Amino acid sequence: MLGQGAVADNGNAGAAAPGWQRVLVQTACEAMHDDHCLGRYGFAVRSDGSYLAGPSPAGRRVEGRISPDELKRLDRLASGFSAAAAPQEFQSAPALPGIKDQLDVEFAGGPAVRVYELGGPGRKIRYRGAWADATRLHAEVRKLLERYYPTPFPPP
Amino acid sequence: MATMHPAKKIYDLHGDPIRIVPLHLGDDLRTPTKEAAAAGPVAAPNLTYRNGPLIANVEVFTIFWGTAWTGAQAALANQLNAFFDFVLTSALIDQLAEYSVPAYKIGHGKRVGTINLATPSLKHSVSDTAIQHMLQSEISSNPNVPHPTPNALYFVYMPPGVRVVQGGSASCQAFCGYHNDISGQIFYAVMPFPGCAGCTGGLATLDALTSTSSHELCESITDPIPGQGWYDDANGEIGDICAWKTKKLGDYTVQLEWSNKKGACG
Repeated sequence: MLGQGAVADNGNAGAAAPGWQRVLVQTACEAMHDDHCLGRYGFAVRSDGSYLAGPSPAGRRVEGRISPDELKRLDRLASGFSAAAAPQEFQSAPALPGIKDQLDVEFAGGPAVRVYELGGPGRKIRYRGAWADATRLHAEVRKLLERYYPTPFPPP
Repeated sequence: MATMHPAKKIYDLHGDPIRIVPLHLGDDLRTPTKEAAAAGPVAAPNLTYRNGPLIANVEVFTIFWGTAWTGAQAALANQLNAFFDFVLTSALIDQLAEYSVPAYKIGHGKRVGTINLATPSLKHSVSDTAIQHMLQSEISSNPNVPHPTPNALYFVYMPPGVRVVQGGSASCQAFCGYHNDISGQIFYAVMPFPGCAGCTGGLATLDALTSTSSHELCESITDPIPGQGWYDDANGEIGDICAWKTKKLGDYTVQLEWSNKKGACG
């Protein structure tokens, strides 16, 4: 049992306890080939451990499954967020123009909630909930992206 | 316990649908619902003017940082200077005229000089913050470096083997070049040496550099303070919309740029 997320992913969102269903990443690179930009075409991990990279503009998708240990870690980190957490901003070194890195968590029966964003307005980092929680989840998803998102993205 | 090795499968267009999170963030930090995202087509690119400055007649000053530019890469530095001498009075600049506004009529520019910079010496990586410090220091102390004006644009070329990093991003990982401003007063672009497939696109080094340089040049002219000139919330700047679509202009490879008038890259 991997917490509420696993229950909520059974397709019966109305009856399930609220929990995360998917984490979604979307990135943008500057002046770089999209096929080589990690996360450019989107990367989503469901609470059952399946992941989906893409689709690319050509319609290609890459699907697979993260490991049970990775899912446990992701479940622990993603379960800590709620749609009600307040959005906040953080600025150390501002992001370079054109670079974006967005992480959303989708909850059962509700919209996706952006928990981390690099490269938004003012090029500050915007996050939701506690800074440590948001950056831990972001770092964990980044690891998954580096492991499972194919670069270059496969051609049609 | 051994970690399971992931199996990767490629699916066609009609596989399990996935919602792509839009690039622009709304004020409420929420993305559209699945249903809303699926309801309509993605809007065509359209740059809108945000009332900030433009560079009307750009004056490019090139800075080749690192000793490689006076050694093994000296010929390439000369070729890049020749590229600017050509392109700043070319059709590439002419096509930007559609983005002129009453206060800034975009026209031809010129290259106003160049320097090779051996110091400060570079290690394996350099931050954008350090590049800004270098620029400000050279402007204030080096009589060969012009002072900033509303038309001045400094192009900083990095030598092979030096990674540019900033805010958790790095060259060849998240960017192949960029342009930026310092307090809205100093406009500059940074060109890391293209040392990865994502930044060469199969092109020769000179072609990759002129392509990326043309991308950043046109963005600098039309949006010198990023997001305050001509910008599209969903698609970015003029060069982002057409990234890595190239054409030959004279002897040089340049990137296509978005035209609002034509509704296409050209």
